[in-house]
Amino acid sequence: MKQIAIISGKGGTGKTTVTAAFAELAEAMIVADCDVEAPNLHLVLDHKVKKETEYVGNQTARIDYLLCSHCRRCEEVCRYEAITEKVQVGEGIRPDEFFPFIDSKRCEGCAACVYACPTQAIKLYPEGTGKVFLSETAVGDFAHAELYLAADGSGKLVAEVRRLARDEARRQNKSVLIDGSPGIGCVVISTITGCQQVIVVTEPSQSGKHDLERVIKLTGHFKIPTDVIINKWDINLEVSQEIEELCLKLGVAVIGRIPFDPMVPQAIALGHPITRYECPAAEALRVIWGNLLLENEH
Amino acid sequence: MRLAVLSGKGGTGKTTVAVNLALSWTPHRQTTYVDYDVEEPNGFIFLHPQIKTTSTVFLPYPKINGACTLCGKCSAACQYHALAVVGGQVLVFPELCHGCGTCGIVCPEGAVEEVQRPLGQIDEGEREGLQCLQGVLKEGESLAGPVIRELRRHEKEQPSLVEEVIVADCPPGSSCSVIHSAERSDLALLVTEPTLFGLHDLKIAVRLMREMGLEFAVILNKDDGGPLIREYCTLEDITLIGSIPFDLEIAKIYSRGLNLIHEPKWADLFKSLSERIVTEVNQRRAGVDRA
Amino acid sequence: MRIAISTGGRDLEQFVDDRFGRCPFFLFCDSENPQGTAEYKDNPALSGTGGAGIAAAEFMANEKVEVLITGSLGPNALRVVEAGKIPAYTASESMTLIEAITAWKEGHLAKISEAGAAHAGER
Repeated sequence: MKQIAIISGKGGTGKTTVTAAFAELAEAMIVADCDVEAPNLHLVLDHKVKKETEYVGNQTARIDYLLCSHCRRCEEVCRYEAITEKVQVGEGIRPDEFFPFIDSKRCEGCAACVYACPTQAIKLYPEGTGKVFLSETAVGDFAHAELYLAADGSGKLVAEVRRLARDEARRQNKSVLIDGSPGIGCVVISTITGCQQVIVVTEPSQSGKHDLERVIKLTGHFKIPTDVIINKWDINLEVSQEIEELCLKLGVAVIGRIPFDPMVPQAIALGHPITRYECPAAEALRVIWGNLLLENEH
Repeated sequence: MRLAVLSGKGGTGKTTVAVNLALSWTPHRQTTYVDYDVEEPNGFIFLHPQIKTTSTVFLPYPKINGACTLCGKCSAACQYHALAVVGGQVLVFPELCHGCGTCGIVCPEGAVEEVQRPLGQIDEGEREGLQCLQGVLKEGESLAGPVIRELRRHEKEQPSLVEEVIVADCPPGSSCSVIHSAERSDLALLVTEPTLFGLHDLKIAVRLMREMGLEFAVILNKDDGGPLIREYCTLEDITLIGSIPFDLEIAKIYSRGLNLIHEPKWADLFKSLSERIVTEVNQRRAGVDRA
Repeated sequence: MRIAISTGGRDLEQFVDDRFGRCPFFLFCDSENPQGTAEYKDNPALSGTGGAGIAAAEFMANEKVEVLITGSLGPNALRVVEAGKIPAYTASESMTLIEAITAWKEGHLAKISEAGAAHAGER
C-alpha cells in the first residue's frame, strides 16, 4: 500500500490540479485532501459524502469560579497570553480581586494552568477540531475534511484524514494519493509523514524556487524520496532552467514540465479534472503519470 | 495604521500586493513591511533589504536533573507525549515539546530544568527607507506559532497615526498562524483571484474576518474582467477596494523577482490603490468613532 | 515470557496490525500458554494526539512486556522500547496472532533494530 503526497512549498502552483488529474488517470486509488484549511479538491471531483464524523482533537481550559482563589497563578504560568484579567464589578467583589479570563481561541490546551492552580479550579474540556468526510467519487473513495473556523489543531485533523484514507486503502487494497497544502510546518509534516513518495509541484518564479528549496530540505529531513514537477514552466524559461539545476544539485528528479494552459482554470470552473480535456496541460500530465507508473513498477 | 494582507488560498498574490503597496508608501510615510509567512517567507526576495540584525527564536524544552525520582508525573501531565519514563530514566523528545512548561510545574522535586533549542529566526533590515522584518521557521520544525509571536513582539508598537504604516504579509490558510498575524489591524486586505478555488477560499477568509471582528476589503488579483468575484462582493456587501488585471507580463516580472512599481503603469495602479486604502481606513475609523 | 502484539481484533486468529502507535488493541499473553493467558487491552495512545508511538511504547513498559511483536517502530517509539530493554520483532499483517507467536518461538521473526517509517507531526 503506497502513499504519495503532492505538496508545493509555495501556494498556488497547481497541487490540486495535478492531484485531480492523477486521480482521474489512476482510477484505482484512494484520494485524500489534506489541505484542511483551504480544501479545493472536492470542487473538481464529483463526489457524494457517505460518511461524516466530527473530529474532537483539541482541549481548552475552563475555570470554575466557585473554586477560584484569585491568586493569579494561572495568568503567570500561561505562555500563550490566553489568560487575562476579566474586570468584575459587583456586590461583594473587591476591586483588587483577580478574575481570570481564558480566551479559548488562544488556549493551546497545554494544562499548565490546570496543574498550577492551587485549588484545582481549572479543567481541560474537549473541543471539536473539524469535520471529516468519506466520499464516493467516480475514481474511488475520497477522504477530506473541513477545519472549524479559527480552530486550532489543523495538523491533527490532517492525521485524521490520513488515517481514514489509510484504513480504506487497506480494506480495498489500493494506494493513496494525497493533495497537500502550501508551507512546511505541522500541517505539511502531518501530510507527508509515512509516505513512500512526495511530489513537489513548483512554478518557475524566484519565490517558487526559494520555497522549493525549503520544502526539499523538509522531505530530506524525513528521508522521503522526492520528485518535482515544474508547472506553467514556459512562463519563465530561465527560472525553469535554474530550478532544473537546483534539483540536480539537491539530488531530486524533475519528472515533468507542464505548460501554462488557459484551459486549466476553465476546467476548474466547470468542476472537472483537466485530464477530461484535450489540451497541452492534460497531455503533459498523462505523460508524467505514465512515467510515474513505470517508475513505481521497479 | 496596520494592514494585514491575507488570502486563504495560496498563490493569489499576497506578497505581490504587500510588497508593492509598502514600496508605494515608503517615499511618503514611515513604512514597515513584516513577513508573517514564516514557513515560506518570500517578501525579502523582492525587497532585498540590507539585513541589520538576525535573532534566533528559541523554544524551551525540559532537561531532567539528578533530583528526579522517576515518579512519572511529568510524563503523565505532558499533553504532547514529549516525556517518557522508562527503564530507570526520563526520555525527552524535544521535537514534540511545545515549550509550555507544564512538566516543570508538576515536578515535585524541582528536577526539570529548561534549556533552549533554536526554532527559527527573525531578520530585521532596511531598503531605501522601508523597514523590513521577516520570521523564518527552521525546516523540519512544526511549530510556526512561537516564531510568529516573537515576530509580533519585534514589530514596532503600532501608533494610532495613519501617517505610519505597517504592512503585514500573512500566511495562506485559515489557521491560528493567520489569526495571530492579522489580528489588531486597521484593515485586512483579502487578495483573491477570479477562479473557483479563489472564490471558495475567499469565502473562508471572509468568515474568518467576521469571526475575528476585523475590518476587511477585497483586492482582486489576476482580474480577467469577469463577474465571479465582483458578484460575490456585491451580494455580501463587501468592499472591492481594487483590482490588478491579469497580465502575463506581470507574471513574468514577478517570476524574475522584480517589483511591479518599477513599471510606470503599475506604479500608478499601486499609488491609487494605496491612496484608496488610506481613505478607507480613515472612513472606517470615523464610522467606528461615530458608533 | 510476557508477549505483546499490536492487533486489530480480540482473538488469536485475528491478524497482526503493523501500526504500533495507532493499532486499536494489544494482545498480552504468556508465550508458553497463549490460549490460556490471552488478554486484550485498548491502545491508550489511540485517543491521544501526537506522540502516539511514545505513549504506546511507555504502555508496553508499564505492562512489563518482555517481548514486543509489531510491524515497525518509528524512531521515537524505538528509543522508548530500547530504553525499557524490550526486544521488538517484526511480523507482517498477513500473520495471525497465534502464527506470530509460533514464528517468534521458532526464531523466524526478525528483530527490529532500526526505525521504520515515523508517523510524525500528528499534532
